[in-house]
Amino acid sequence: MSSSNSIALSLKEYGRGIIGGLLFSLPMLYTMELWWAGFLSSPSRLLIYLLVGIFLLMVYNHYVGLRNDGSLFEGFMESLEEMGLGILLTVLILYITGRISPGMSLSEISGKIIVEAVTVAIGISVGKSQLGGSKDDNDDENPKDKKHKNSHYHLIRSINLALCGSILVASNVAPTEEIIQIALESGIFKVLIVSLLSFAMGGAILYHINFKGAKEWVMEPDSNWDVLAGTIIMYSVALVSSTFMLWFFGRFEGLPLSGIIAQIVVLGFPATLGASAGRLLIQS
Amino acid sequence: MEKKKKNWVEIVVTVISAVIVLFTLVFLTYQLLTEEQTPPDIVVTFGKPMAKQNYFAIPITAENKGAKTAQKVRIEIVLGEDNSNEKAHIEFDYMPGKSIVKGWVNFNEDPTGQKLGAHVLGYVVP
Repeated sequence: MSSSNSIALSLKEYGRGIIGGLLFSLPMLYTMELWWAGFLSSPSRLLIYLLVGIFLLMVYNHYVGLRNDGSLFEGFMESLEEMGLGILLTVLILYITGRISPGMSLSEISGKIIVEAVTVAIGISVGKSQLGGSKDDNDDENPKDKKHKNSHYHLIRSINLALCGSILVASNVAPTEEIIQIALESGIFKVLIVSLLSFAMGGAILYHINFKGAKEWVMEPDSNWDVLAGTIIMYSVALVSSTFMLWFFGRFEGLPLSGIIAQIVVLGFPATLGASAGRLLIQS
Repeated sequence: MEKKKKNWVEIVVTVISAVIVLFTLVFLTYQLLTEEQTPPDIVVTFGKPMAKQNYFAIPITAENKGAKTAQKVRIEIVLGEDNSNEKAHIEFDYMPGKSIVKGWVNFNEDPTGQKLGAHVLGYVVP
C-alpha cells in the first residue's frame, strides 16, 4: 500500500532542512577563505568534492533519512534533492551578501557555490530528519535501525556517520589561515597535546560521560580493549576527514611532512568533536 | 512498512534539484576536459576621466584572461609619454581566472588628451 505526505508536511520538512542548512553552514558562508577556495580550486578537485558530498548524503540518508525505503535509487534521488536545495540556498546567500555578481566568470561562481553547498546540503539533510518538533511529523522510528543491529552493520554505520559529522563540524574551519598558523606556531609538544586531548575527548563522549545518543548508537563494550578500539576508529575517521578537507582546500602545498601532519592533528580536534558528539547528535 | 509516494511538491523539488546538480556535474566535467589551466594574463583598460574637486579620477578595468587566479596584483598607471610623469598604483587582492575587477586611480594632473600606460608590476600565483 502506498500513500503520500500532505503538501503542508512536505513544506515543513523543507523548512526544517533550510534551517538545518543555515544552522550548520552560515559560519562558512560568512568566511572569506571559503569564497577564495571556490576560485582557487581546480575543476577536478571541485568535482571530487561534489561527488564526495553526494556520497555522504547518500550514506546519511541510508542510515538516518526519513523518506527512503532503503533502495539505492531512492537514496540517490533524495541526496540529489538535498544537494540541489543546498546549491539553491548557497546561491541565495552568496547573492544577497554580494559574493557572486554578474562580472564574475562562471568558473568562479560555480567554485564558490560548490565549496559551500556540500556542507549546506548535509545541514539540510540533518535538519530535515533531526529538527522536527513532534514525532508525527516524521515517520515512526526508522525500522532500518532495528533491523540491522548486528556488529558489522553497526561499525560501518558508525564510520559513515562519523565521517558526515566530522565534515559537518570541521569544514567550517578547514580552509582558514588559523589552522596552518596554529599548526606551524605551536610546536611539536603542543600539537601532541592537541592529539591526546582529541583522543581522550572523543573516547569520553562515546563511552564515559553519558552523552545523548551514546547508549543507543555506540556498541556496548565488553572490555576496555573495545573502548580503546572504538576510540581509535573514531579518531582515525576524524584524521582521514581532516586530511581530505585540507587537501581539497590546497593546504598541503609547499609544506614539509611535519607541517602537513601538524595541520591534520590541529583540524582533527574539531573533526573529532564532529565524529563523536556530532555523529551522535545527527542521528538521535 | 508502508511505502510513501512523493506528492507533487516533492516531485517538483526533486526534479529541479536533480537538474541543478546534473548541470553542475556536467559543467565541471566540461571545464575539466576542455579548459586549459593557463597562467594569469592581466589586461588593463581605462574609462573616461572625471574631474573631482582637487584631482582627476580615472576608472580602470582589469581583466584576467588566463584561467589561473592571480593574488596581490599590483598595477602601476603612468600618465604621459615618459617616466618622469605622474604615476599611480592600485592593488587587487585576488583576480580569479577569466574575471574582471574594477577600481579607480587618481591624478593631480588632468589626464584628458594625455597618454595613459598600465604596467602590471607583479602578482602571486596561489
